[in-house]
Amino acid sequence: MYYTSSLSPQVADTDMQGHVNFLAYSNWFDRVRIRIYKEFSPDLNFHDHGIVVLHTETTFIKEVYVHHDVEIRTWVSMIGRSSFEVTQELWQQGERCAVGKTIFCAFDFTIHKSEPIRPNFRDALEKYSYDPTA
Amino acid sequence: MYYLTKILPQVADTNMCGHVDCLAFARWCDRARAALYEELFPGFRFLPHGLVVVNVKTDYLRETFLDDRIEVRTWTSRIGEKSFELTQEVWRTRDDDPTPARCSVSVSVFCAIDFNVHKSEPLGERFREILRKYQWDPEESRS
Repeated sequence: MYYTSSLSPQVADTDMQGHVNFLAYSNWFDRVRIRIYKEFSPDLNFHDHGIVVLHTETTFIKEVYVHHDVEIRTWVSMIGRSSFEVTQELWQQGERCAVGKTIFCAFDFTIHKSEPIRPNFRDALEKYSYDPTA
Repeated sequence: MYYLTKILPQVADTNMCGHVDCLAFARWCDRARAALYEELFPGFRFLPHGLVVVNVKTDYLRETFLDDRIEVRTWTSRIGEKSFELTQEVWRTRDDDPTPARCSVSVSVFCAIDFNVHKSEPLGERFREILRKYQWDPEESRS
C-alpha cells in the first residue's frame, strides 16, 4: 500500500516565475523515499551493497505553489529480480500535480555488479506495493 | 551540433555514498539550459511568457565524483508547434582517463506558457527558428 507524507514548501523552492521550481519536486520525492532506503539498510549504510538509480521519469501536470502544504504518495509499482520501481504522486489542494517514477537496482559495489534483491528487502517492497488500477 | 557547458562538481553535489548524487545531474542540466537560453535569447527573462517543463526522462549510466570534470551537451531533439524537446547528456573526464564517458541522458519536453493566465500557447515561429540553431541528430552525425 502507498504511504503518504506531508511537506511544507519553502520560499527557496520557488523560482522567479512565481511557482515551485520543478527541481524541488525531485528533492521532495527523494526526501520521502528515505523510508524505503531505511528498509534496505536501517542505518543507511550503502558502502558495500546499495541501491542505485537507473532511470527516472517525471510528468508535470499542474504548477505547485509555496502557499500550501503538499502531499506525496509513494509506492512500489514493480519488483523485478534485481530492479524495482517506485512511483510517487505529488498532490496540492486535492489536485494531482506531478507523477515521478524511479527505477532502482540492487548493487554490489565490491564487484561493481547488480545483484538480486534480498528476501527481507523484497518483503518490505511488497509491503509498499500498490496498483492504482486495481 | 550540441551546445557545450563545462561544470566542476562541488562538495554539495556529493552524498554520503561517496559519489555525486543523482539530483545534482538535474541541477547541472538546469545550469546548461540557462546558459543556452542566455545565448539564444539574450536578456530575455521568460516572463510573462515563458516555458514550463511537461516531462523529463533520465537514464543514469555511470557515477561521477567530486574531482571529475563535467561536460553537459545540450541540443534540441524535436521542435513542435506547441512544445519542444531538449536532450542533455552529462559526460565526465578525469585525469587518469581523459576519454569522455557518458554518465546520463535526459530528455525534457517544454511548452510555452502565458503566466498571466497560466495556459499553454504555441511556441511561435520566431522562437522555433532560434531553437533550430542547436537542433541536432546524433545519429545523422555518426552516419
